[in-house]
Amino acid sequence: MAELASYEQIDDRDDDRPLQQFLSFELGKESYAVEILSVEEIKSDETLTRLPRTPPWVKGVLNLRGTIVPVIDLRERFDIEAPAAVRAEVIIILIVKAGDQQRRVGAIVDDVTDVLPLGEDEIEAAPDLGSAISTEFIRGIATLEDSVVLLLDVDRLFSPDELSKMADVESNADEDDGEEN
Amino acid sequence: MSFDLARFHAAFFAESAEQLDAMEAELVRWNPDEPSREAINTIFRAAHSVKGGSATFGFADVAGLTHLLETLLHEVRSDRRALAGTLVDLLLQSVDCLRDLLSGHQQGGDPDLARLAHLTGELEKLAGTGPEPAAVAAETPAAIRQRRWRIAFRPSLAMMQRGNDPFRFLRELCELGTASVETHLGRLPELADLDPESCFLDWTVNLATEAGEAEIREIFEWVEQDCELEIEDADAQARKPAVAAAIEQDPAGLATSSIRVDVDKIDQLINRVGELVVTESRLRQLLAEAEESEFSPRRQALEALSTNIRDLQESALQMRMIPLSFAFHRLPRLIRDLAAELGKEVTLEISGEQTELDKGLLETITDPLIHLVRNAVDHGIESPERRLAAGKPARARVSVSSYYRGGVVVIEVRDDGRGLDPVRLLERARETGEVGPEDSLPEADALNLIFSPGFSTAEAVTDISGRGVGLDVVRRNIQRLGGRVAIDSEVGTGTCFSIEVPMTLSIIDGQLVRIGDGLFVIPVLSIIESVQPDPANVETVAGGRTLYRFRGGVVPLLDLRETWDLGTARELEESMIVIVERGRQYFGLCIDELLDHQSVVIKSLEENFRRVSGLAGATVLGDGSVALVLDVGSLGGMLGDRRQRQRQPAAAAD
Repeated sequence: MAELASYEQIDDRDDDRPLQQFLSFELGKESYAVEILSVEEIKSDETLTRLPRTPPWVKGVLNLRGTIVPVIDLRERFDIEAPAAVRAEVIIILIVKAGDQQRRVGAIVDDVTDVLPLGEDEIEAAPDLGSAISTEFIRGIATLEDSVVLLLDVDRLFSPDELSKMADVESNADEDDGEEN
Repeated sequence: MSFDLARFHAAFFAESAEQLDAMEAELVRWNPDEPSREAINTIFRAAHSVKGGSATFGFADVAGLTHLLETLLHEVRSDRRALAGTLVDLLLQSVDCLRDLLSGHQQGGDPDLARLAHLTGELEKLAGTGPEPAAVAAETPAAIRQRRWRIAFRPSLAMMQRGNDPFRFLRELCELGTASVETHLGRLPELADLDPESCFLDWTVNLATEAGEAEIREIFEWVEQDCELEIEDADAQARKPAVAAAIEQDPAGLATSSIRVDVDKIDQLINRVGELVVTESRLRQLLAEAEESEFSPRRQALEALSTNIRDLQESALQMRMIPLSFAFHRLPRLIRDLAAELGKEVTLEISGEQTELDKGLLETITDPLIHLVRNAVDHGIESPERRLAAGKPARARVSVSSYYRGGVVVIEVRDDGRGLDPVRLLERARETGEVGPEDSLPEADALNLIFSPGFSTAEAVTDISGRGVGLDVVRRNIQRLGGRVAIDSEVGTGTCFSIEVPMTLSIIDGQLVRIGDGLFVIPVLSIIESVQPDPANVETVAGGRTLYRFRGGVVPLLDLRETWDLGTARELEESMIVIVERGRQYFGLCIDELLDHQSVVIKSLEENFRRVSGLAGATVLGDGSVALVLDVGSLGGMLGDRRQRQRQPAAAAD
């Protein structure tokens, strides 16, 4: 595991372009990262309450200081194979913006690995991966010395539209069946 | 020092809106035959304070229009012009125009400038006709003598924070005549405690002027509630007690009797209190685990804490409750305009406007309410000719009333119009295919057809109610709040819509239950009974559905362990059945265990996720874990259109 980037490293850079910091984590054998500004906190060992009528990758809800936050297993969401050895599962609480609104969504990942400072020039456009992850959820990719990191766009990944697909998997038929007569 | 002007802007917009509401209310209520001095003063003050604020913030259009209004109203106030006819209409139009302009400034909308120009022209024309000279002549002699006044002006500490400059009033006083000003430093604190935004100074002004007390008072009109003001006639000390008494009657305390608080702050407080309740339950649990005696000092301290927390919770929730008058105050104007437009004569009766409701609920309910009132005037009430022909008084009555019933607030909109004809409704429903050509419906059900989407009985869609937003939307919005709307009508005598909504959305009386491996809360209001099932009463019908005999009928059973896959399904005999009510239907929920009965704070799932059908939300239990709150209404929907449903009403009708 790489050491956490320090501020000295940032200052060492000779161009003035601003750096963005990303929090990287693993899903199976793959590396992903999210912008650090959208991370509220990292939790582990939380008791989850299962939600009915949601896809299997919605693991339930947890109590975050009095508000109810949904928790989504990113590995299952992207249909990524589990790693051979069992690793620590952690929940990253993400701040997801949609217009003026902010939501909190928990994402279960295999292990948080690093904080990466990246300049815009180090981020390349996402190629079509043809996998379960649609390119619209990917902000770009960054190539490090030994690996490739996929940068996720959390605002799109957990947009209200996407979240609305995560409930009522059985049917919507009874949604408005509130007639009383 | 940099000033956050936006903060003052918000206060100005909110206050102006209130002033305009007050002005409108007085104008609508105004009866030229019984002029009320108080009403004129309210209207004048409204125009005056909007003018003052808008001039301060540089909204020249608003200030210009209000200045004109003020000029006209000043003449009304000094009995030189009658408040009647065209002037009332123009003033009402000005209220609309000002609202439009203000919302333009606030939200960057596009105000209707043509209307402003037209209105300004009309008002100027009216003002140009000038006051009647006789009245002016009558007033002049009284004001000609110079008098000496002693004015003590003591602003509240917060005056400057509300955007008022105390010096402005002093300057205006000086303009009235010859003045000397004494400054008092009595309230000035130590430098370290000095808040630069507070006004610690107060003044006494000795003024020699031709102006009367009313004119002096007028300078302070805008801040009357925000300062202590004493005006004495220095020539006639004898008058002093009377003036002092008058000031006591209009206590300076009024300024502090209410404050404006951001709703977010109240919600934060409510959330914190919610957390406190959770911590308290946790403590209770720990003490119970430690087998602490009932009478131990720790237990007693906890009891004292609990009492205080409950009180605190109630007070905090109370802060979000506001009286229905906030929704009702729009109605008189609405009725006045609608009746005029449709050529109908309508009297509006309002009662129960002091009934309180959660702010969020009140906001959501206002539109449906207005829709129902519109409907009553537009569709319910006949034209005066038709009413006379039917032997009714030409002037129709619409009454809006509200009251508490149990834990719910009921709002009724009643008219004495033509009523709804169930036969015609049924015909109409057959035409649209809503009801099969052969089906018949009981009268009450036929009336409910009016809530079907796209259903209208008005011969012609009018400009007022026929805008495609039907009663189906009204009903859906109210149901979304956990409420319901019912209709009652009799041909020829009138229609009554009644809305029922819970007082608050956030707290319910809940029954905690275990279903499979999950904890759930069932709202106690919807529980009829909990029963230990007797195998003899269980009936399995074709299709694998299970029914249960209950009070002489049968109710369908919903086993969420199966439907929601909550761990292993158990035999019915090992379960308990909670019979719940949904509208007029009963059904049974199979559960594993009845647990505590407690008040729960409902948290929304939508805030961070989305609505999940079958659930009203979630709540945080004493140990910090989350339990889901069942929504009996949408759970009933899961029974679906299976055939058992048809047997259901017979069972529930008992």
